[in-house]
Amino acid sequence: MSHPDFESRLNDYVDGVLSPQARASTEAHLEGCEECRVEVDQLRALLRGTASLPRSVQPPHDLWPAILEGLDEPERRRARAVWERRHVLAAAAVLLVVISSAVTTLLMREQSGVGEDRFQRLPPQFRPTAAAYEQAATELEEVLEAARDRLSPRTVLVVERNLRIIDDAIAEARSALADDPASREAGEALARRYQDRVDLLQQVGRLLARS
Amino acid sequence: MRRARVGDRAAFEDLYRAHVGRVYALCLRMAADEVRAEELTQDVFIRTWQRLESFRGEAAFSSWLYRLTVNVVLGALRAERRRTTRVKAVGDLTALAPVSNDPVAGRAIDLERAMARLPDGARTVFVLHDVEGFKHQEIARVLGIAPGTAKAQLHRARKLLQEALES
Repeated sequence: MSHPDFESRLNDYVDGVLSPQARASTEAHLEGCEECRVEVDQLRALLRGTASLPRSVQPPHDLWPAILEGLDEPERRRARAVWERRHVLAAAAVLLVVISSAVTTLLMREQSGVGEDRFQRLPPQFRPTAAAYEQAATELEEVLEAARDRLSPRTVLVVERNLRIIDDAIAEARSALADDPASREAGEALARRYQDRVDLLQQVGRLLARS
Repeated sequence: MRRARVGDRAAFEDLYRAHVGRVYALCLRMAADEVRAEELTQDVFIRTWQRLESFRGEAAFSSWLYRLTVNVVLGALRAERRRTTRVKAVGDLTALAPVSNDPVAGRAIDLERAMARLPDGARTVFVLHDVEGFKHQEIARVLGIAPGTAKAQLHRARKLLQEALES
């Protein structure tokens, strides 16, 4: 086009959006410019072709079955999330009861003195309980790990740091008890460290219940 | 419409059947990809189901639906990184016009194919303005560009289409 700056004006002319004055000056120009008249004719032909395009086109496949399934998807996702959370909390609750009762049994034996004879034998008897506790704690931590994304990152950091501190204390208490199996204080210390871990995991469980 | 808004799926299917052709045509022309257009059409109707309650009835349902379609397609196109399927889809666009010796139908196929080959921005503006009848101000608002830019894209699209149809 010999005067490309007029291209935009011609488009606006064809679209009928020029002011009366601009339209008049454009029409005056068109009277004397064949190139621009051809351009206008071509633009109008293009718009006629566009206007004749079908407005509605049926998709090659019936999409309704997939759409119907998609309507249920948000509800299924919500139901799954609720089920998972309940499952997690229920599992956590069961494990906490198991752990609590095991640790409580230990503490009660120690406090009542009834098991003092047993306390002297506590390390061997302690071992099955400790093993059961360790297994239950691992399973609980796996359950809580699955629900981790429901806790804030800061909370996760705090929980993990506290667990490390308690685990270190448990390791020390176990080591002390192993060095002195008859030590009442060592047995007490170990039981208390286990109780600390139980308390922390219960706290996490309560946070999950609120989330 | 009223029954669909309160969760009647059979009523919603009726709405789907009444409007799927327009929605699919818009998705197909904007995406220039038959498979993608089907996916987008599904997304549009699922989104429509989720948002039906927000339709207040100030405008015609069809207007509301087609604006939602534009938003869904634009959102999807922005998220996409690859456009390699476009060339294949051009061959599939024969579905848009019946196969016949009718020269008008033949020109329609040529125009659809030429539209599919436009650069994304130019094609979007052309489809919205010249095919769907959106005004420059609305196109600019939807695309997040200046009205002058939308107009320039349109003029560029028309120029490219003319050149493609002449060749």
